[in-house]
Amino acid sequence: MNDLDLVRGVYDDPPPPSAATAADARRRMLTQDGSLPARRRRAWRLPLGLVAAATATAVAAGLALSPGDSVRPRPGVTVGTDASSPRGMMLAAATQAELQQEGRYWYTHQRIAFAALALGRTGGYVVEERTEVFAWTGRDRGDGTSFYGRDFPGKPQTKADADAWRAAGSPPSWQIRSSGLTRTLASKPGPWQEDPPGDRGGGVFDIGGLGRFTYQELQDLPTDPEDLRKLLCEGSIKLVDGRTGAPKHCEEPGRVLDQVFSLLADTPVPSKVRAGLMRLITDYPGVQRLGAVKDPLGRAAVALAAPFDSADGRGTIQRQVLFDQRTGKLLGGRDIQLEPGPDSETWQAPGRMLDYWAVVDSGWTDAQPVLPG
Amino acid sequence: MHEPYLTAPPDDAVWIERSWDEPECFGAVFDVHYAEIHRYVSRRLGPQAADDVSAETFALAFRRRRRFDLSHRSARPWLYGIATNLISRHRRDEVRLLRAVDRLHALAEPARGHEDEVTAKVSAQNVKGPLAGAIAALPAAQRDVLLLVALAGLSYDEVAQALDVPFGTVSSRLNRARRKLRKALGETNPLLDEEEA
Repeated sequence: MNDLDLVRGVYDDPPPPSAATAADARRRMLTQDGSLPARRRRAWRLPLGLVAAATATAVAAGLALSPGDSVRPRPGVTVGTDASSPRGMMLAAATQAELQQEGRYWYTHQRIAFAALALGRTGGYVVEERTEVFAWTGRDRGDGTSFYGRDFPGKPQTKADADAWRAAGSPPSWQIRSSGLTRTLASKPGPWQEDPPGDRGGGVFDIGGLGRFTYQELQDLPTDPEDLRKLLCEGSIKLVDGRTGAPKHCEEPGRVLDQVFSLLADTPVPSKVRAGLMRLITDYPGVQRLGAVKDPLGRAAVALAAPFDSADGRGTIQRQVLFDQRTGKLLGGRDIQLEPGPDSETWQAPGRMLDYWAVVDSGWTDAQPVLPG
Repeated sequence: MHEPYLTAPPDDAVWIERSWDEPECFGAVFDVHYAEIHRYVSRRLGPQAADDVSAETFALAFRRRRRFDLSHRSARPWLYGIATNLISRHRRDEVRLLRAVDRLHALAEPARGHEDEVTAKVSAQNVKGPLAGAIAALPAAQRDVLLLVALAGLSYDEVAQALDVPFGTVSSRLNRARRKLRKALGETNPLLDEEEA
């Protein structure tokens, strides 16, 4: 086996295009000459690659799970609904989520950060490599969609990191190294850059570990936590044309948190479904209710978490999902080092935030969303 | 790597030349290559973007069919080149997708108790996350060359033709990319054959 074989192994075998997709592509190709311009329909775009990656992984991995393995939450069991308990806080957030008004356009603005050690003579502290994405999509197909990304300035992570940075003379940029690669973080934001919208398709969402859903199918999702659990954990991944992929699986609570995070962060599921998903993970076996915390942007949050053992030698890591209790909105997710592993670097000490995916803002509007400054 | 064509060569050039007067002849080129191009794009950008980007690849190829160099008998490298250029417009999506694989990987394949630990350590699954992170961090030009070789199975010559760069540029980009990936995996990774590394 050589490195090119390993590279191939990173990419799962995707499902082939459907016959209808191929026929459309062929027709479009041949009818664009001269008097028959292809209709420029704007497609719904996937806000985050995460979901496609997860779908591809799950489809190709074919991870099988015998029926007895799946852990079942028992939504009927109530353990007190005191709004000041961690569980009560989550349920209060879910109630708020349910009340959210929907509008004509759904948008999401996210900031993604990875922590790394600043290198060199002026380094030695932890900085965050950050990017931002902004995506919006109309409720109806003709309403359009857009997807933008930009580099966001790097930043020393904690107060101690910022102090060390200042002591090193406040260098304006940083060299970091992660995944074995060295690169430079800028201290100024880059311009928003738009990914070109697709020319055809539209109204289709690839959801990690679940499959392909049209906008209408998202509207028809169940709202009851137990029904949502079945949707996430039972049966097979749904492909186009009624075909099915690998069996779904939910043996790891962290995976369920991830899936719900993807659904809430990247797809315009209705308010009642959002609330149902929040209730599901609040009571999911193995999920810890952390209560009140601050999110990576310093906002008051209520958190759920699940620890997992890293598969790549980085020890035990806690995955968190964060909500705004007052509005019920998803605020983001983050990974916290619990116990370092053999391949952890020294700065990856217990308590260190390894990465975060923050939802700066998201919701529905009636006017076409505009790019944040 | 792709097997060389052992039987009759796929004479895309013949169909493309004919399509200059009879546009529908270009359909033959589509029929031969569409599924393969779709698969390549789908691996890099995910299934939904693959529908759009591969359709656009052929629409663009069709519009540029008069510029196809008929001395190349196969349109394969040319089509991969067009697809790769379109993929580069989705660079941010691709990088985030790879980062997500890296992140998801930590969860997806937990080391299980009774498995032989040594076997688990060297399994290709275990390097999948870090490797995805390393591919994400490559400069786009090096990533394109790497994936045209690793995923599409193009030869150096064909990559040069696909990207319209000199042969020497292909080999230096590929070498640099591979060196970085090997570093990312640790030079002593037992998965790597020495003579290949």
